[in-house]
Amino acid sequence: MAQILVVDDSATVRSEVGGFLGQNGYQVAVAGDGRAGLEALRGDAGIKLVICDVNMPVMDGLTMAEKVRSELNDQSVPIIMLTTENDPKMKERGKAAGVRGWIVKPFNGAAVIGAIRKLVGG
Amino acid sequence: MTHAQLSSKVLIHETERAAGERIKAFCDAHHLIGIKGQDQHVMDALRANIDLGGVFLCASDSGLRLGRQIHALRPELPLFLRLPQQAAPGTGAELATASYRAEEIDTLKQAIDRYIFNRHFPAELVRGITEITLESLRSQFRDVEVGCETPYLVNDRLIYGQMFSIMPLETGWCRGYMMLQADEAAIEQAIRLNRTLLPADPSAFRQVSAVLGEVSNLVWGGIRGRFGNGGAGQEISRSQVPILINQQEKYISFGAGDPQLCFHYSLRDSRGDSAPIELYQKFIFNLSWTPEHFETARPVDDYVDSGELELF
Repeated sequence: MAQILVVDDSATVRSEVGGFLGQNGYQVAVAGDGRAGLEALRGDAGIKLVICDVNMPVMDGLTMAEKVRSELNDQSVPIIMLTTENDPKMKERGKAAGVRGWIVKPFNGAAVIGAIRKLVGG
Repeated sequence: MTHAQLSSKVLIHETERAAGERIKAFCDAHHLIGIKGQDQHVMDALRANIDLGGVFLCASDSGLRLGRQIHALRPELPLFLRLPQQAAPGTGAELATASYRAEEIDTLKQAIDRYIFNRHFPAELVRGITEITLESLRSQFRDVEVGCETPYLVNDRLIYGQMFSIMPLETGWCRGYMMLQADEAAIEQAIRLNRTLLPADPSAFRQVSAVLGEVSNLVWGGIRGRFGNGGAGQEISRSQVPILINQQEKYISFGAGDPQLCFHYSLRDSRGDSAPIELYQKFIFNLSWTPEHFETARPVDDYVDSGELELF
């Protein structure tokens, strides 16, 4: 099963989402902010999908998504935003950065699983 | 636009029964929730209620003494002073926000409106905040019943509990902060008893921060998402994270793990009469840090050459 990177500054969210994905058979890696997420992607070619918050310290999720495309030159790893934000302008920025999904918190397991299966199967 | 009907808690110390009844009726008519402070227990009542909108006192000798004590402890609280029949006008003027005589208590309405109910909040906003927050709490806690009292207005500036988060709340039509204040031990127990989404391990205070932080984040996002439109002000759509403070542990977190730039200043009395004042100034660029865009201040000659500055 695919390895999924969960990027969120909240320990609660990392625990909740990571635990849920693990129960559904996925391997999970976590990072606490966009910069750590970028480093995780840089160091691990096995990550098949990223679930990422927007509002994080150090580097926010949209900036991370943009840098995944520009600095890592990686168009292949799908990124789903899991965030409290529902601003159309942010979503547009996300789309422009290649983000493939946008889920508004609180966490909805069914929506996340559905999105993962559509994007990477499994 | 419909405005929310809010209430406010007021501490009442009144020794005359008739006046007390008039005050009660006045409070009932004007959405004031009276908390009675009886004689020697007034200060206890004050300490037990840190979210007051004002205080009702009588301008007797004991009432004025109480008023001075209360004003020293809680200067933000407006004092509404009843003048007994025999009291001269102006009695207690140095303390009173407004004075009145019992038979003319309705004249106090103007003062209540000015010092307590001086801002009107859209009913939809108040209702929405409650809905969003209840939903956020229910999503982060298990096996708990979540309730909310009727919203109320507070003049006190005291902090409840040991932990609180602060988040700037900026939209096109309002700018300010949201605070969530909590008792650390209660959340810590909830974590231990598996009432949160975190593993039920014996937890350090930083786990409590995680729970409070995520609730703050959810509420903040929900409020911005539902009410962030409108207004002629510039819409700010920048990321924000909760600032978490644990007073008991003297701990503050901005979410980032990078070192903070700190300056320590000491102000020492040149005559040696008073203790030095120590100031710690810290810079936490937790949300964005791009020093490559930093520009050095231009030398003054540049401003002169460009014509921006003339020196005579």
